Amino acid sequence: MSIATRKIDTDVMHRALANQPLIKAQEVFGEEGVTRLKQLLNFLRIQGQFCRVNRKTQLTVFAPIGIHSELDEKRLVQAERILNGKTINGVLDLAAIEIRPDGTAFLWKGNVNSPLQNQTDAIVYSLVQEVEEFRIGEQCLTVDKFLPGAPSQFLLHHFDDLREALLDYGHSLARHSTCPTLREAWQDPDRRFWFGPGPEHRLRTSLSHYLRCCMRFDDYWVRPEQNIDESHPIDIKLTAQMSTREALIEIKWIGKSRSGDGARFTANYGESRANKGAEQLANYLDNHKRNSPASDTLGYLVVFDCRRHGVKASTKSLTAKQQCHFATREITYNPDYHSTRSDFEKPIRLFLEA
Amino acid sequence: MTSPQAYFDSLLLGSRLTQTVRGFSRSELHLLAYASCLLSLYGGKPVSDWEYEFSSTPSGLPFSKNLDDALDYCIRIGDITDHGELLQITSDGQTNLGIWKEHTINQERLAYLNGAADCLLLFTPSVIREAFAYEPALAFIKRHAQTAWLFSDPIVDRLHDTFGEIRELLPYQGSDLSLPLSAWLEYLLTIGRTHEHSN
Repeated sequence: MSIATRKIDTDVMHRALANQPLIKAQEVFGEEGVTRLKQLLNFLRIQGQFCRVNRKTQLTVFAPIGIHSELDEKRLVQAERILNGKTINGVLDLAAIEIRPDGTAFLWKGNVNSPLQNQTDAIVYSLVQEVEEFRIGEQCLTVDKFLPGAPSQFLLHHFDDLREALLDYGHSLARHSTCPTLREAWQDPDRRFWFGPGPEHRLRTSLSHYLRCCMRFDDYWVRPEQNIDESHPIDIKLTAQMSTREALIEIKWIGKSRSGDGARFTANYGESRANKGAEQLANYLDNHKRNSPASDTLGYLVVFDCRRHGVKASTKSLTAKQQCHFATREITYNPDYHSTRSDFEKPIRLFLEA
Repeated sequence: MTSPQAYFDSLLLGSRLTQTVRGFSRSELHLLAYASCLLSLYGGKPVSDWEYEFSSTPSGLPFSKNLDDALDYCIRIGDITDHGELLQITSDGQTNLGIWKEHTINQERLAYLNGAADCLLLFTPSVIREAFAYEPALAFIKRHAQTAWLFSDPIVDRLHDTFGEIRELLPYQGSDLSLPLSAWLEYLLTIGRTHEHSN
């Protein structure tokens, strides 16, 4: 076996070192800085199991370095000890949280910022409008987004159940098109009447990014932008490498799409399109079963629904009724594979609001 | 017979994964044990000191038969249990971990295992997996869909070169091994993603 010898790219490594909060904490505060930052990060990871963040979340978590007797007095009346899974639950909107040297955490009531705002003997993490920063002493590090589409790289909620994760994607990212990749699928992301031409790849990418953040499969295969191989009709395949667990996701969209210059509609899909997706998924599951009889595979049909009532090429605005007409209208599937097959999950319709 | 080192590593990493990210899959345990073994190499230990070996699966994930057997043993005796889609350490497992931590042979492993596990504070298991997929040896093996030993002489020589370069660039020579590992993972992600975008 011959592996190319490649030297470390020193520029990239210098940037990696400069961006690493643990290394910065060591530089600025020594071993104590590393220990305090790890306590803070551990808190974020654990809270991710109990709460979720979104684009509106404004969060500050701070770990004072050294003795801050002024905090001890204020804490008694202004802060409350955080009990995991009890004090903070559901969606986190605004909060300022202190991590004490013994690892306990306190929620400062009515605060969004650290009470140590102007002091530099602390490590402060902040999340505002999906931008995360660490202030370590006087130095500020903006966190790289390794997980595109995730509001936070640290406060991540992992789902056990793929269906639950898909529904959460629909609610938290798809419904208002808050995912940047999904926004690019619209012809005009601020007037969401119809998609631009060929939105499929962006829908796949947006959903697969989200699943990478919140599911624990080992391999995520996403159909490439140019469908060069018709023998792989499925859109996303999730695999757990050391078990037989697999999930196949077929994506369809319904509604209208328009050419890039806006001159004409390029597609107009209704419920029959979703039914076609169900049939494709059923066929693919059958083929897959034949090829991999030992696999424990579940199929999921996800339908992005951007239908608007009575929308025409000349439409400049939509009434509330036009916008919401399809919001709660579920699709009728005939045949309804999910009722007759144990490997076919009930299809999930994600309605995208205007 | 179950390798005592692999048993201890399963408990320690299983405990950290359960605490930090609610549990683990088999492949995540193999991945973190492989990262720990790399850190022992970074720390100047010969690879034989790790006491069990790793190969790569054709999909490019590190795998150790000893570790897999130890995990099966942990499940059999109730130290680790299935919890939905993930595995978790049990209270019996935590008790046994406490006992085994005191053994002299395991004291030195703690720095390597904790160094790898601490990277979970910065990166999710899927991001760590992605970063290692860009590591030249694992990337080569995956590209050729091969199964190969991960610590053959040429690979170990190249890793020594890489670690020597990291050590020179890293403004820290202390004992906390999560610092060099987190910097290397960030480096691999940056290089790997840039390369993928340019192709």
